[in-house]
Amino acid sequence: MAAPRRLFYRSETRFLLLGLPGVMFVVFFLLFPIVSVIVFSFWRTESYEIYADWNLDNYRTVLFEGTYLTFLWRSIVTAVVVTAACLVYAWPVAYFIAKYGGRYRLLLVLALAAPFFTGAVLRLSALQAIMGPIGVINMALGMFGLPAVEFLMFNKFASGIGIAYLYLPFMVTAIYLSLLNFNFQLLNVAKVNGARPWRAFLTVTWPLNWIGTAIGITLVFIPCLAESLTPTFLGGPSGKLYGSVLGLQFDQTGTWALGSAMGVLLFAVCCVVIAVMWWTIDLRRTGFTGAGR
Amino acid sequence: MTNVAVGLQGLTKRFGRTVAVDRVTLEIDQGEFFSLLGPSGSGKTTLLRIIAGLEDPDEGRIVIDGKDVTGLPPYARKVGMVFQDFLLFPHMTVGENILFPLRMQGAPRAERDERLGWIVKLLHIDGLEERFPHQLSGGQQQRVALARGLISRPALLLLDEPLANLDRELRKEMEVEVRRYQRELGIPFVYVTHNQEEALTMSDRIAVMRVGRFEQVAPKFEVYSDPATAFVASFVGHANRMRGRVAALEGGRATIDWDGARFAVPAPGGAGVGAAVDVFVKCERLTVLPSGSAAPAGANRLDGVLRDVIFKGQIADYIVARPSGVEIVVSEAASLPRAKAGDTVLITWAPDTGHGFPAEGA
Amino acid sequence: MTTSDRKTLLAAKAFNRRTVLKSGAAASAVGFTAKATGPFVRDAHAAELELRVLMWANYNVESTVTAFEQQHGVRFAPTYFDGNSEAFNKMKAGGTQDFDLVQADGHWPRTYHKQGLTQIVDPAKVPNLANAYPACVPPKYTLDQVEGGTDWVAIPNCWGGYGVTINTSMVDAADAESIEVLYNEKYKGHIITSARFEENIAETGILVADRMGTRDAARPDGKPFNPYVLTDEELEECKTWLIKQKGLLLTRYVEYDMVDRLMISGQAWMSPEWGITFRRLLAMHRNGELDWQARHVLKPTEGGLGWIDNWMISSGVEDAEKREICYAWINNFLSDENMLKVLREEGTSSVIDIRKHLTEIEIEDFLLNETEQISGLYMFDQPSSPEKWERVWSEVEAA
Repeated sequence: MAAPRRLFYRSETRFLLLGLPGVMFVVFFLLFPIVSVIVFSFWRTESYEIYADWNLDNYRTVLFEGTYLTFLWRSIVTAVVVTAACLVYAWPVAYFIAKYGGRYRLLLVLALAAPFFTGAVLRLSALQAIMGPIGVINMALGMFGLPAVEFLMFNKFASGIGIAYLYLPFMVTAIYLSLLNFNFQLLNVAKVNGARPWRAFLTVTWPLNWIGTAIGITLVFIPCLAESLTPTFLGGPSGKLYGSVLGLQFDQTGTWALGSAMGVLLFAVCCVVIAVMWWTIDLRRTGFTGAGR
Repeated sequence: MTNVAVGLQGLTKRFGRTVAVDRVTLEIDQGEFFSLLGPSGSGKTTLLRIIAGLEDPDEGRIVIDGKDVTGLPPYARKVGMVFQDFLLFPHMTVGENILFPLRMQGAPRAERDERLGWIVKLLHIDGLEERFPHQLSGGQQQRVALARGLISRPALLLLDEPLANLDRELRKEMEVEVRRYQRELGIPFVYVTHNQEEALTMSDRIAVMRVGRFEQVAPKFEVYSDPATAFVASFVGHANRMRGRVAALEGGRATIDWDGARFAVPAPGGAGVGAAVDVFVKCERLTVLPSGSAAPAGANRLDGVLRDVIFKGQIADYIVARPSGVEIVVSEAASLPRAKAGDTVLITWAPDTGHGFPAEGA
Repeated sequence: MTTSDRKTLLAAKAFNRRTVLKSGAAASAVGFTAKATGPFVRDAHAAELELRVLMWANYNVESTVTAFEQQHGVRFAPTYFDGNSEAFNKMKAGGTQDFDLVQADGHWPRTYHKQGLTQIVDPAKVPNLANAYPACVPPKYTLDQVEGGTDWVAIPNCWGGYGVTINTSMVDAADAESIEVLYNEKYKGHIITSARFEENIAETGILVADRMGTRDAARPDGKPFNPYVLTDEELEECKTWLIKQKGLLLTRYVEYDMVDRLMISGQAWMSPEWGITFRRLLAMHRNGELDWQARHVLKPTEGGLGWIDNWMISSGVEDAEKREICYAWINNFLSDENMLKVLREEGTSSVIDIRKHLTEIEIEDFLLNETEQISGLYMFDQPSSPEKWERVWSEVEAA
């Protein structure tokens, strides 16, 4: 017994034991898949078999045949619009909860996360039941003798609403958590010092909560880019996004090499988005007291 | 133009069933340093926030520089305010913090630069303009907060316990400085504090507040030496409270029976013979003598045993126990050589000092 | 891969109809890697009297299995798969030593045999096959025999179609006969199709080949027309039709609930499907819940898609006794009793004629009076070039 005990108490051993799970996690769930996808993206598939013939054809297809860039562009536009909508919607909600939620704050935020308590398919079915051709909205309109609204069914608008509904909780939570640490007294300071409410928001509240907001933006934008399920359910025949087509490569057509190249491109775009968001953050300008000493 | 900088008329503010500010009426003069003194919960901060426009009064009017600002939002009132926790904007440099009010007013750049140069020199914070608040000491942060409140030369500066978070030494130093800036700028200050020493050191006039009302509004010396109510007498300065009965009234003096002894004080208003009264005598108005010493003619005398001497430097507090066990505190220069605990002593004071009030709740 | 989703749907019906039809959920690289690193192979060498079967999960009828085990004194050891390609890969990776029986549909049995994974079977040892619908066995249906020969490589058991379910109150009877109904301007906004690429392209391929006159002409591969083996010109034409169709579609469905909802509400008037919604619509009509009659066009004039499932004996079975047990299982499976259970419990039609045990309604629901059409259906297959088909489909989706 003595030897293993001694071994455990050696600091290197403890370091290894404590660090190993983290390292293994990163290696198996992050590094390994990314590396395999990168490797596959330079290979070739033929009739559901993958061949290690190193080539650049997949990238040529993805980058220079307009088809796949069309999907990417659709996804980027969708992500921008959805993120902007979430931002505009989430700020007042988070602000209200943080400032006036009182003892129910946590409950209110959890309520927002309620969609996550169910599966994705159930959630989308529920949305269809509300917005679809025979959904609650159109049935209500029908009761008043009004024609059904078509912009809510099987098109990009419907799928945009579905995606926004899905990721809105991320945005609200990120902004809410940021506002929890925000000293609302500073707004009084600004007002007494001559700032109108809107000006006070722009000069004080917004910059001091920019990190939280930027995290929210990233947390919504990135999954929006990769979104596949919602457009498939709600987007109609012309609503397919990059993520849906990427999924198709793996789930149906077996064109894994092409799919991998698409994945690598998506990964690169996400990296650019994260880099841009990071670039907008000047730690000293966010009230972070640890920086710039 | 009148000399009145701020006029408050019948201001009332309720929070639910609590009345935080109760029919307060007050005028503050141009160039005056005015303190609102009271224990926590007395409504002084609420009153300050009403003046600033951060709270709406339920009743009453606020006039600043002759203009009724009651319904105006804070940004339209031209008041400056310094907050207890400094509340500097953490994402702005010192310079940006100070310039914030001018920026909001849209002052031209040249004016901003000039004013900034002036105020940082005045407050001895020049050279710190590029730093961020978290890089400053507490005293520096307070000066920056002060500079931000003053840079736009407001009609009125409101200060909400601005020195409460500073250590004692720094606070003493700042008390003097804040008073000096106020004099130099001639801007009326309304200063909220629960610290009577601060109020006494800095103010021209003091309003002592209690549960939303003013107990006394008077020049600081008067508040100290001639308290209008028992509350003021107990809250301002350090006094011994002696609850006794009026034994006799004669020529503006009352003779009080207290703790088996008898002494004379100026007759308390509204108390007849036999009435219970609270008599307050400031600790420093009492003198301790060795037992058997000759007291001045006509002076009040009380016997006791010296229980303890708390030496404080310039002065010492002598704790004297009466035979009944009641203690009296005497603050004096350490003038009793070789006095030690257990000695019998004599306490004396002039009969025209001390204030009696009909006993509350008796 | 091709028919996997039919099976997923059938299984999903039995266990949980909400299961998504391989909806293109996250393209998980981890899952991909797991797929690529080789199939899981069960070590089944140890037991002696074991019948080791690689099968679709929905054919495992418990009472049948129990009775068989008792009668023959063997242990039934099933392993399940979700798609033909998955089973095929398992067999290729040494599975012939691990499994005695394996299932596959459409063109797959010939592929298995060509690769040496299965052995020639003798239909005479399966007496119950005598009751099969003529359309499901040679000479009408020959995919269970070696190409150009008469040796059998598989014994059929069940069949299904992928016809078009029609709302007869909205769609003209004459239009409904042709696949072209799915591309008809008249029904704009009321057409739905599956989200799967193979069936969309293959079905369009049937129509296109018919219109181009290439269906019955000599094919480049010298074989009869197979909608899963299309020429580049046909694929190009498919693309044109599919792009045109996009403007007419209400949506593409990814789960059966969607087909049900949209058809029942009257929003969608037609949909290619496996017959599941059709049966539900019929039942609702009978119960007075639906005022219109549904129709399922199994085989449109241009031709339709379908599948016949089969049992095959692994080439690893060399022991005569074991071979006999394999035949016993297949024959037992094809018994009226079991086929009735498969139809009633799993909702799948058998190739054995069990109409005498069924109600009129069941016969109508399962189109059992139209079995003559089966032999005319184009069997499910895998696209001849998934790469080309993927490109066509992506271009359609991007248009």
